[in-house]
Parts: sequence; structure tokens; C-alpha cells
Amino acid sequence: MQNAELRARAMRRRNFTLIIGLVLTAGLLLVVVGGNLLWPFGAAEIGAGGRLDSPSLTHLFGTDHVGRDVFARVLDGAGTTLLVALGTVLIGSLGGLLVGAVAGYFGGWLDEIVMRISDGLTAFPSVLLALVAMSFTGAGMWNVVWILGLLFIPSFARVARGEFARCRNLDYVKRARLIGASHLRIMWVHILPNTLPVFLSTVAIGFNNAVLAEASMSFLGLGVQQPQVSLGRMLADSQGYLFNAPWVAISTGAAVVLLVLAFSLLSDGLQRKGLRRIRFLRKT
Amino acid sequence: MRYAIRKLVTLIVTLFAVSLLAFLAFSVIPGDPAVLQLGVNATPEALDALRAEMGLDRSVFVRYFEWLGEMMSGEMGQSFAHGVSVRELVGDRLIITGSLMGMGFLMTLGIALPVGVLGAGGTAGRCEHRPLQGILTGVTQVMMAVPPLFLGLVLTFVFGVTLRVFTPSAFVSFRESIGGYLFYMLFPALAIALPKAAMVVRVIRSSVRDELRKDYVQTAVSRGNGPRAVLYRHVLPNIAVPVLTFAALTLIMMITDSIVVEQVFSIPGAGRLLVSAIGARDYPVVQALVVVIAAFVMVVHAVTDVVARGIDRRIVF
Repeated sequence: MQNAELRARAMRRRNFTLIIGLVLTAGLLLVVVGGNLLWPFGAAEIGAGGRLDSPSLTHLFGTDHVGRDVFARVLDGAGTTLLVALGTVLIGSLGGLLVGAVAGYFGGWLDEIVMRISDGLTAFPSVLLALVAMSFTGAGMWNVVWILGLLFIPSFARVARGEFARCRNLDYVKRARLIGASHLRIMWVHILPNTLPVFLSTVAIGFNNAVLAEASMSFLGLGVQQPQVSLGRMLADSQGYLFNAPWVAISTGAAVVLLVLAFSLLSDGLQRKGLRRIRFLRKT
Repeated sequence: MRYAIRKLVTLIVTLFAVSLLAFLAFSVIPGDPAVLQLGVNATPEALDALRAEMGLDRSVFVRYFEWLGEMMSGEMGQSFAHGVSVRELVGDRLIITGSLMGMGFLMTLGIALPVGVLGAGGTAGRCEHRPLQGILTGVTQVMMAVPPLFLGLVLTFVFGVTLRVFTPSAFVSFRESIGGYLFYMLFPALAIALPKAAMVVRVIRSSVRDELRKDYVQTAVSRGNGPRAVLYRHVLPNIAVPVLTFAALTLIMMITDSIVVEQVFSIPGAGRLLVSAIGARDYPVVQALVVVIAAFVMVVHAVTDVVARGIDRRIVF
């Protein structure tokens, strides 16, 4: 009886959000990568089936107006979207970590300037700024990646700055400084590992935002261009035959929803984990 | 009141700074507007003539003040691509986009406030209606992941194509019929509102949950307040400011959503003008719309600050 109660309590404490998020993310990545390698139809293969065939066992998500297999296109499109998200988050998180670490660790006027600029940039929706920037550079996948990446830097920098500022005056950092560790070593070896639980959750939410941003921008025709396939582009195309072949729009949209859901659950779970760790550290 | 006036002054100063920044950003970009308009094969004389006509031969600052004058008079500059004033291109578009966002925002609040407060769950540390709570958590989590552009497609498919409640892409201008216009905007606004409402519900529920852990709630309970009284009289006033701030944020996020949703429902709003101007590199149009959007964003931030201070006098900025 008591045992059962203990087990129930442990179950309640288990981080289900994180588990579901991890499983969903891993599953989707596996399907996208494995599917791109193994699925018998190519994304650009015209006439793989009839025109606008409804979903069947051969064509899981049916076919589009020129007989291309929609499942293959969703896989390819999701791959592109994830690649854009990966590039964006890499630029954003590394840039943000660098800027935020310096600003948070050293503080002072540098911190003030960096944070005012980031306040200004985060006041506007990043997709909007990216769209405007597209008018200078022109559309295209790599332009989306670096522009969105740069625009994501402030939000990552804010989190990194907060964490580094929190750790800067902790006892163990002071001791490291007394021993004579350099600033670089303190930031890299002593503080960085402690910021990771919080920072990782921001990275997951970054993926979430990047997938949404890519979908919106490509949907508007200002992101990934033909002949490349991305989920946003496919949604834009699917609108033309929403009446005859709703499965194209629905399966593409469902892919976006699943990806976003996976990353947001992952982020929530990681955040919960980070909070527990901080609470635990405070108790000991 | 003094706070509001101080905010107003700051707002005007920042607006000038932003307009200058926007103007400079668009004048340092590579690419000569005259070449853009006449093509690379144009004669140098023709280019010079056009530059003089567009006023590009004068200094940046003279042009800035001229442009600022035009922005304030409402003409908003000349379009490269169409050769008419931006004002003419914009027409009713800002009103349309504004009303779309307004409807979306009202719907967001209309859905989120009751659902969030009623779904906030047990007061005084108890969790009421566990299964219902779980369902609500699941629904909001999924709803948050649905991008408005996909929700727009789904709504078009369900209510436009299948149930024929409205005719897709048969936009009715408010100049023809206010009722028809509002009815056509109902589904676009819903496409914007539902995901945002889910986010607001989440914020309300988690703020209530955090608030219930605090000591003053225990005190309120021990003084004989029932669960309803604790929630409405003690907890809700305390979470009003964070929820308001978040709601204002969703209003700003709706700018991008409405650009996308206008495309989905073929609504002739400012968003579609912006997208086509970006595609055509029609810089004066982009520039004018950017300044309008920036002004909107800053006004929303300022109003939020003033209202938040009105609710909670402890706030100092």
C-alpha cells in the first residue's frame, strides 16, 4: 500500500512533458530522415501516381495535381524546413550565447548597450523584420537562414545574459577567480555548464519559432523558392486545389503542427527539468 | 497622469528616432532606385533626370525631412513601381488590416478570459475536475502549435468548401456592406485568434497556479474566504498585469499573422501590399508601411505600460 503510494508519487514527479516531447521529436526526426532515404517515390517525381489521387496504401497522403506523391513531398519539405530551423537556431543560439555571456558576465555599459539594442529588436515580431530584410536581399533559403538567425540572436542573448549574470557572483565563481582562473575559463568551464538546462529549453523553443517562421515566409513566397520544397511552400501550393484535394493541405499542415508541438513540449519539459534542478541546488 | 504624459513624450521621441533609422536603412541599401526603375540599359542622362525628379540628387537629411513631412501629411511618399503616392496604394488597406487584427484580438480575449479563469482549476491548493483540466491542457497545447495559416486553410475547407457557410475569396468591402464585411472577416479573425487564445489561456492558468502557492492566499483562506472569493477578489487582480502584458504581446504578434491570413483568405489588406512591395523591391511602400507598423508597435507598448501602471501603482519605469 505504502509502496504503491510512493510509486504513484514518483510517477507524478516524472517529467511526462519532457518524455512525450523527446519521443515525439525523435520519432519525427526518424521518420523524416528515414523516409527521405527509404520512401520509394521522389518528391519531384511527376506521375508517380494519378492526378489528385486520394490517400491509399501506395500513396499514404495521396498525390498532387501532377501526380507527385504527397508523402514524399512532405518528407522532403519537412527536411528543408528542419534544415532552415537548424541553421537559424545554430546562428541564433551561438551568437546569442556569445553576446549574452559577455554582457551578463562583465555587466556595465556594455551590458546596457547590448540589452537596449535587443529590447528594440525584440519589440517587433522577428518574421516581420525578416520579411522587410528580404526586400534588400531577395528571397531564398540561405537568405532566410542567416537573416532569421541574426534576428533570433537577441532572444537567446537575453536568456544567456540572465544566466551568466545570475552565476557571476555565486561563491564558486568567486573562488575560481581567487585561484586565478581567467575570465574565459570561468565563462567556458565554470558557468556555461550551469546555464545549459535553461539554455537548452530556449534552443527547443527556437526550433519551434523557426519552423513557424519558415512556414510563414515560404507561404508568402518570400522564403524557400522553387524547385525546392518546404512545408510553407507546399501549403501555399495546396491552397489552389483545396477543393479537389484537401489531403495535400491537411497532411502538410499536420506535419507543421506535429513539428511545432514536438519542439514546444520538448522546451516545456526541459524548462521544468531546469527549474527542478535549480530548486534542488538551492535546497542543498 | 504625469506618468502617461512622460510616456507620450518618450513615445514621440522614439518614433522620430525609428523613422530616421528606417529612412537611413533604406537609403544605404545597395541598388540605385533609378536603375531599378529604368533598367540597366538606360542612358546616363535619363537616369540623372529621373534621379533629379525623385529628389535623389539632394542630401540624405534634406530628403529625410521632406519624407517626414510627407509621412505626416499622410501622402507617405511615392511608389517606385506604380508611380503614385503610397497613400493611394494603401487606400482602405490599413483600415481592413486594423479591423482584422482588432477582431482577432477581441476574439482572443473573448475566448481566453472566460476559459482561462474558469479553467484555472481549484483554488486553495486543490485541483478540481482533474480529467477536464487534463483535456484543457492538451487542447491548448495542440492549439498553440497550429499556425494561423494552416488554421485558415482548415477553416476555409470546413466552412467555405464543405459547409458553404461563406464563399472563399469573395471579399466584401465595408464600403459595400458592413454586415457582409464583418461576416467575411469572421473566419480570418478566428484563424488568428484561436492559437493566440490558447497561449493566453495557458498564461492565465499558470499565473493562477503560481499565485495560489503564495502566502497571502493562505491568509485569505484562513480569514474565511471561499474558493470563489479567493480567486476573484485576491488572485485575479494580482495576475491582471502579467496577463495584460502578454495579451498586448499577442496583439503585436498578430501583425505577422494577419499578413499571412490576408493571403489565405485573399483579403486586400496592408499585409498583402507589404508582401507584394517586398517582392517588387518597391522601397518607398515598404518604408512607409514599416514606419506605420513601428508606430503601432510602440503605441501598443506605451498604452500597455500606462494601463499596467493604472492597475498597479507600484510599477515604475
